[in-house]
Parts: sequence; structure tokens; C-alpha cells
Amino acid sequence: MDSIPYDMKFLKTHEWAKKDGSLIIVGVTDYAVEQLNREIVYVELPEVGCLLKKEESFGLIDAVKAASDLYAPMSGKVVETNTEAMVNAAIVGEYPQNTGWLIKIDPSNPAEWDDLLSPAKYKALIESGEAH
Amino acid sequence: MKRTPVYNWHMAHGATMVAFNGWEMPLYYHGITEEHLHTRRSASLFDLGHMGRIAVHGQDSLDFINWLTPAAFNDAQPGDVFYSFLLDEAGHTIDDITIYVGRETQMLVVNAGNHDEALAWILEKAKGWKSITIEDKSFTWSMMALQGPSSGKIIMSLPDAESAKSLPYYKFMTFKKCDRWPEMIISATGYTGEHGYELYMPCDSALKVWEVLMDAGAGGIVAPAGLGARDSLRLEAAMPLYGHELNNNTTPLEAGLRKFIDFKKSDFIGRDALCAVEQSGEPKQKLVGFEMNQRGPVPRPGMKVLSFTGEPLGEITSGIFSPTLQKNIGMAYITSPETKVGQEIHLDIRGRNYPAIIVKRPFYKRMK
Repeated sequence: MDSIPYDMKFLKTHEWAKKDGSLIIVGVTDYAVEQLNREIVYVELPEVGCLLKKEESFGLIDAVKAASDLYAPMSGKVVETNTEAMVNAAIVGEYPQNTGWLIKIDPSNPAEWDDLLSPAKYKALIESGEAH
Repeated sequence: MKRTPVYNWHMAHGATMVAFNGWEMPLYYHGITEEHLHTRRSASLFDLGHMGRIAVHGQDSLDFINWLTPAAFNDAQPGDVFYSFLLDEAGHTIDDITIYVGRETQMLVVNAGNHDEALAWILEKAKGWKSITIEDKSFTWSMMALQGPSSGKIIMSLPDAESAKSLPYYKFMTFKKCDRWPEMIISATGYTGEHGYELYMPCDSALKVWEVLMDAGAGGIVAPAGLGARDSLRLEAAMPLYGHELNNNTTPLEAGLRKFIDFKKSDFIGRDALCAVEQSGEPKQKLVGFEMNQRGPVPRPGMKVLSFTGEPLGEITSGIFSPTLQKNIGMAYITSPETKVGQEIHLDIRGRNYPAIIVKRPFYKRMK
């Protein structure tokens, strides 16, 4: 696993978060889509303006064989969704940590950033074999 | 966990394996979608060693199968293949099967998941038939399928190739053992909606046949395909899968498979029950095909079907994002008999309603 960027933080449910000024960009991890053989066929995302609570479900990604819920790494308002990913879900399978990002959140409690898993802890989680 | 003779080849070629009815089988090698599209475009080889193969021997074997199944067997000829069912007395489906008609030996191919039940049922029913012996060949013979528009070209690498290539649909040939080849059965059958063949051979020569077929289609003509693509291909072709469209609580009539029931026969197991359904008018539920014309999550088995006003209508039996049609498709059992093609329904997917349209099956039909 060489694809855990140092500037991201993580949920154990395999969502990543990254700072973009005062906003937070959210996506699913490369490890998570690899488990789905990168065959993502559909992404459902919330409306812009929607309020999310930390660790609450905000959408889903559907792969050929199974669907997975998506969880918010931080509380806040959805200020942008990746419309490209909604039209062409395959980019989430190919570039989940880049152009396949999902939503941008304006965080209501920036301190929640500190609760997220560090790259080292996320790496340890997926290498422990206990990740699902 | 049971393994087929091709297991080591799958492992050496990077297959992602899955437990399937007690067998360790390839789910995919590179990806389900890629293998699906390759089958439609060129040709794929599927290991079907997990399926059950049961031989029925004896001079009365034709009469026995004629009574055991609803197949139109009265004018069956050696070399014919029939799609049929094992039904219980209530007309419910124990398994869907193919029957290979021989002179004094008939071969039944059953689903891996129903092997034990089907074998027990056949043994039980054969008790009154003195001349009949039942032989389970599931572990001595293996099976594979070559499917796709290029499969005719590849089958040319086999002995007596011309006759194999020109086999009519649902016919089979037996090839005798020779210097280069094991004894083999080849039929023009399949489960993908494409032109193709199913091949049977003794287990100890299955790997060799597999490798010869892979070599014959070298250069990207043939590729191995796993159970993932097998399922999505059969669903586009609207072929039923046991445990989804068929089960031991459903008759083939409800599944829309009436054309495989020979009511002209005076007797077969389940006939009285099926006649009663016929006389009562409509079966209590019917199978329909649907597609979603807007993007939405993939419809999956067990999800509820509603009318467009929200009344419960039934349940999804199979659903996928169709690689060929690039939209979600599926099949469902609907309790409302007036349901028609073109009608709008709603699918309850993870607590939200999505519109779908009832459409004619199959979803995909190959160009002939």
C-alpha cells in the first residue's frame, strides 16, 4: 500500500478527509475501492446545502457486486459535490483519492479533524487485516 | 472446500476465488465487467466443474426421465439436449437441469447447490424402476463452457472439428477417445445468450482441454471468465438462476417457463399440480423484467417492488448494472396479474424509491 497521502486523515470506514483552505474534501480510500475491484457503477451524494453529522451516512457507492454506505468524517454543511463522479462513477474506482473525490464540507466543528485517524494509524488498520 | 481440475490454473492466473456451494471457484480474473464484455465481443472460457453430472443408465432410462421431468421427451432422439426441471408433486422446482439424451444412458446436469437434493430425489424416484441404475459422475467427469461469437473458431482446434462447429443449438455429440484426445461430449448450449459450447470430459483430462482451448484462442480471442460474469451474462439474457427466479416454493409457470412444460404428456411428476394452476387461470405471481432508465443504485435480490402509487407488488429476484446496456436491469416476482410491459413501477432501494419500467425479456439478444 503506497497510496496513503501524508496530508489526508481517515475514518475506519475508509473515507478520507483533506483540508482545502477552511473546507474539507471527502472521498473514499484507494484501499476501499480496491476491495471492490474498482468496479464502481454508481455514486449517490447529498444535495449541496445539506447538513452532515460526523460519522453519519451521507450517500453510497455501488460496485458491481455490493453497495457501501459513505460516512461523514466531520460535521458541517455540504458546499460542493463532485458532479463528474455522479455522472461517471468509474472515476471513483480509478482515482478515488484525486479526481474521484466526493463532497466538500464547510466544517461546523474544525476540532473534529483531530479525532480522525492519521495516515500511519489508517495504514496500520488496513495492514492488520481487521478492516472491512 | 472442493476444487475442480482447473483450480491450479485459476490460481496461477490471478483469479479472485469465491466459495460457491462448497466449491472454490473463480469469481473473476481481472474484472467482472471486462470479462462480461469480452464474452459478448469475442469468447470466454468458464470452468463449470462445480456443476453436478448424474448419469441414468438402463433400457428404460428414457421412459424414466420422461416421467421424472416435464420435458417434451416423447420424440426425443439421441443427441438432443433439453432444458427441464426436477419438480416435486406440488409442481415446485427442486432444480432446473439440462438432459443429454442417449440410447441407454441419459445424463442430467444439475446445479452445484442442488446436487445432493437432486441426486437423492432421482435415487428415490428410481426405486420402482428395476432396470435403472444411477451414477453420480460429478467427481469423475468435469465440465467447461466456451461462449461468445468467436467460440466456433476456437472449437476448430478439437478433433472432428467441423462436426463440432456445426452442431445445431441444443444438440450434442460424443467424441471417442483417440491418441490426442480424451473421450468428450460437446453440446451447442450455454448460459450467456451467446453462441457457444459446453464440454464434458473425464476429470484427469479437463486441464489439458482447458489449456488447448486457451491456446487456440491465444492473442486475446479467448479469455477466462469467472462466476461474476456468468451471472451478469445470464441475467442480460433473462435466463433463470435457481435460488433467485426458481426455488422449491415456485413453479416454472410462475417463472414464465411454460414452453418447457409438455402438458401433452399423460404423466410426469408435478403434472396434476401444474394442471390445477393452469385451470385456475393466472399463477399467484409472475416473473417480470424491469429496467431503470435513470441512474440509480443497483437493484439487488430481496428488495421490494411497489406500484407507482406505493402499494407493495413484489420482490426483486436478480439485478445488475448491465455492462452491455449501461443501465440497471433486473427481474422480479409481481403479485398483480394485470402488470404489463411498459408499466411504471417503483423499486425500494435502501429506503428510497426509484422508478423502473417493466420491459420484455430478454434484455439482450445476440445478432444472428
